[in-house]
Amino acid sequence: MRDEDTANGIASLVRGNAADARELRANIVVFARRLGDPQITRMVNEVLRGQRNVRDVLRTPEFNDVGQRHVATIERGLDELSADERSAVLSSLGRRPEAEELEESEGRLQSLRVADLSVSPVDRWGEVDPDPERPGR
Amino acid sequence: MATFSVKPAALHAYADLLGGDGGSLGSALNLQYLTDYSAYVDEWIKLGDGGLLFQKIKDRITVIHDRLSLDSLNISTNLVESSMGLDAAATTYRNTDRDVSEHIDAAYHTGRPEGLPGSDGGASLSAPDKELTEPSEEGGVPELAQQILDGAGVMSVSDLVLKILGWCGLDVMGWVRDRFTGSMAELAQCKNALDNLASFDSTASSDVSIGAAHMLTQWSGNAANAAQDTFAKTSDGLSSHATALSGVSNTMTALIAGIQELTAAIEGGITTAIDAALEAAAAVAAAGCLEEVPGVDVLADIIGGWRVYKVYKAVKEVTDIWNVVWAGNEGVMGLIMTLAGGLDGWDVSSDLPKTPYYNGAQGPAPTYSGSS
Repeated sequence: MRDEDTANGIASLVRGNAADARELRANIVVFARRLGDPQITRMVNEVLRGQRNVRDVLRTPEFNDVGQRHVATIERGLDELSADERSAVLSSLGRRPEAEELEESEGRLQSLRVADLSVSPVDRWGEVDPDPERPGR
Repeated sequence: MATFSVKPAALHAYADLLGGDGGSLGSALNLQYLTDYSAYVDEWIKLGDGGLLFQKIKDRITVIHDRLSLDSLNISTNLVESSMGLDAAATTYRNTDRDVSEHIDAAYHTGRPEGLPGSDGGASLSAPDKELTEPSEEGGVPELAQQILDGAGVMSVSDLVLKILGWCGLDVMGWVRDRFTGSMAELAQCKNALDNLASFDSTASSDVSIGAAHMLTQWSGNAANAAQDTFAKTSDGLSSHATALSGVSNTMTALIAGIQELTAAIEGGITTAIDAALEAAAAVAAAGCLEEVPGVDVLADIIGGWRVYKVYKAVKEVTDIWNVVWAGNEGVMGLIMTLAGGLDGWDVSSDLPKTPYYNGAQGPAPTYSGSS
């Protein structure tokens, strides 16, 4: 586990699971990039440097708003499914995915998540660029 | 035949202590059981309404309350009838010359066992009602459900996290309140009130013993020996009642500790579930695919994905802790079910004299085994 993740509370939040810590870091970076709010960007960078607790980001109104909007989208999607499809989807709630299935699922979600981000794969999970539109980028 | 001597005033004084004006206690022991003791039981041996856990405890505490109310009435009745018996005997002794009294005393021969207790050893009387102070709330919190919610940080989590927990079957606030609403402070007060009632019984037991010993320094003969037997048993019976109450109090102490362990486990489980939901929330917030309504495959990936499974698993661990405890008959549930059982070993008909003190001087002598 990275020292920064101990300092920023990520290690504690994911109960010391390094893969989960990596995933959480990635998710808050993507969230900040997609939102484009300078204040959130600054907060996320401070978290990545171990200078701020990750929960500070997760309790911001901006995080809650985006999450709620996406949750509402999921619920609309569920509403549009047939009864059988909805039942099939929801039945997977308590089922631990097989490793292969999980990898495929994670991969697909990840590609969907980053598809419209104009950043290179190299710095995809690195520090958030505070000004992605600056010349020369 | 034992040498007979009597100072009727000593019998009157002891009768006053048991059921008259109370003498130096200010209020007779029977009256203290009938009023102070039973009022204290009404005031403190109870719990307010609560969630599933407290409702079950409340049911058992109601059983304890009803039992103690009945015991206080029975003890009071026994004491006042003994007081009346002593008064009647003393009055008869006053009205009868020494020879007749000796004759009456001889007629009251009993098979009294040897070695009866009863010496006061110089001890002094103490009013039992002084033990009935307001019970402490020590060891309790005003509202258990709120403590769990605060401890797990539920009150500060976002609607988003609550929504994700809800997807996984946990309406966390409702779930906790349905089960754990209730005052641990009230439970602690109830436990401490039982200790005070036990102290009352112990003091009353001591008073009965001290008073009898004092009376018997001025009364001897077969009837006095029978009275010594009766009041030794009365004193022992009150002492046994105190022991039974202490047993209930000890069970309640174990129950309070058990509830604290259970709630710590639930609180920890909810904290884990919240953190898992925060991870899921971060995944959802970062999912660009959710700007538009997703199709079934994407929904299956999201709902069935690892993050949601983690939340589901954490939620299940919380509900499993509760289900195991609730369905079990050991631990917390075992303690609740046996809470009132400590009083089952005490019975007024076997722990107090079957009949209150009665003297042959009052009329026809009762039949005693071993009498001729």
